[in-house]
Amino acid sequence: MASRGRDNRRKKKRADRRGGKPKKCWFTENGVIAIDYKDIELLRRFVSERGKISPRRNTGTSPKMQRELAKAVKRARHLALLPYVKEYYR
Amino acid sequence: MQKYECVMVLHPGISDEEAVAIVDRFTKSVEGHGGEVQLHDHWGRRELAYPIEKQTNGDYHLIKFTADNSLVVEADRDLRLDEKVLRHLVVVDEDWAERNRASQAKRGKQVAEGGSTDEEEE
Repeated sequence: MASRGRDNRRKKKRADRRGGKPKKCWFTENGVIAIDYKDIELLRRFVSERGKISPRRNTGTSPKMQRELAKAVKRARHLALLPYVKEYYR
Repeated sequence: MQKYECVMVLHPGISDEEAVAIVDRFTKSVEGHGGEVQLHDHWGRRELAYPIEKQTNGDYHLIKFTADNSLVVEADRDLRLDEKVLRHLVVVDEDWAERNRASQAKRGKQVAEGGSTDEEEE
């Protein structure tokens, strides 16, 4: 019980610092347990306009799914399904 | 025996026969090692996210198969040496869609069960 209390305090502290409640992991919320590198529509949502993988601090993805996500994005990039960098015309 | 899947991006300039020949060769090499090709999905021509060997399009093929790991090493090398294959990727088939469906079904069930128990308590 004591550890639970500490956990909650820690969570609260983190939330205070950021000024909001922690975001929930989209994958966990939607029952996605395996990220397919072929599902480009899904991967696009977790990649910036420039083609970078969105950080966890922005999306709230759980550490486990963030690792899966990174793996999927990297596989998709290799097959030219996603860009490594998206250049803009200047 | 392990389930694998392979995506290959073929050169857009080759004829249909040549594409079929590459897929056939892959199939034969799988079968030669006692494996089995379970699915061949031709995605068709897609635009590449970045140019590869000056090409902006690629012909995508997805093949799911079972095989021993010794085959994968060999098939991988074959594909790498073939200049008509722009890119390829052989990975263990993790049944992504299947597993997600199962987990979502379970989730739906859990939610439903939770709802029913709540009603009983009331």
